[in-house]
Amino acid sequence: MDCRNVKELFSEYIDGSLGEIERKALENHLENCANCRAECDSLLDSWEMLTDFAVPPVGDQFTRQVMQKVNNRSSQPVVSDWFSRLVAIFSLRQISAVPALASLVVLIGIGYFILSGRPAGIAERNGIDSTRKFEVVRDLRDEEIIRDLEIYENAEILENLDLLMDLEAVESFEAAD
Amino acid sequence: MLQFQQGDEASFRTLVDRYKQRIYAFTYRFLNRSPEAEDIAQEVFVKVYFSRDTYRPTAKFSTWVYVISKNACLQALKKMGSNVSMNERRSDTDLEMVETIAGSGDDNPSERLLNDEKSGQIADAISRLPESQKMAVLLKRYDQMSYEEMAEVMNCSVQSVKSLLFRGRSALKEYLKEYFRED
Ligand SMILES: [Zn+2]
Repeated sequence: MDCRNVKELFSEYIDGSLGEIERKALENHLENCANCRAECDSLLDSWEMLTDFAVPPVGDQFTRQVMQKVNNRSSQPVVSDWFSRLVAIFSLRQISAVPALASLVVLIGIGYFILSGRPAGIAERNGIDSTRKFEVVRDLRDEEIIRDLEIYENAEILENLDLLMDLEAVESFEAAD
Repeated sequence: MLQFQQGDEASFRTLVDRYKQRIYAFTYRFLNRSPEAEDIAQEVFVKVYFSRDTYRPTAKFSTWVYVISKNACLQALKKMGSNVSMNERRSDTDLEMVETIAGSGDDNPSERLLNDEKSGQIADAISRLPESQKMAVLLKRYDQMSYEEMAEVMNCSVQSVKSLLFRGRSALKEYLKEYFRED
């Protein structure tokens, strides 16, 4: 084992998760290499130092407050619960609320044109819309948080996406007309 | 957990009591001692309550709670925006916090202040880490999770977990160097 190999194993060595053979080879190297020994020691020191990050005890009302929040929210009428979920979906990610709202505006606009029979202005609106669409895609690809969100948060985003896609499908359908 | 899934409020209360300090410690450390950490920890349990039907008995309950905690913290960070305002608000509660730590054993006020100072140094070092490295360090150091559990919570491979820990540790070693040399 050379120094570079050894250093790569330090982290797992500290966690005690190295296999017997690797561990012995590493310890053997440490005995003979002051440089690596020093580095391993300072990794251990700083890791040990983290123990001193104290956390105050939770407030003694913690559990009661949780129960209160649960009760407040479960006693809400169905409609307002549905509404607050919708709001939560939009506020979950501020950026995605922008295209969603933009789509909504465009949709209403298109509806207005259809009803009033005036096709002018659609091209201009689609121009705005395609940049918005680009934002959504870039956002999804780049944002680590999307990948990290799980379980029902995932479901919320999918719902949000479904809504967006529905709106956009209607838009492109209307635009193609 | 299965009991609670069937709607037993008393067992939910027990669950909160059992996990509250651990989850609060996680949000408190992840959010760099933000005064909102306790409220966010409470929200974690509210989410646990309302999403209890999505819990699969095959997953370890604690892992599931940590997934929710992680998501709550990431969302909170986004909402809070810049760290600057968070640090400013934090300084108001520091004294208060020194008081609350009192219950933890030593009654020597100067020692307590010293501990608080040390906590501050560590908090600052940890807050300099990128979110994913910070997460890995916290779950390993304070929650003693296995690589596999961490991978599940962080939704990545075991190999990524190892690499994040490696980088997190190396960075912390540099950030904390000056402090342990003083001793
Ligand atoms: Zn060496």
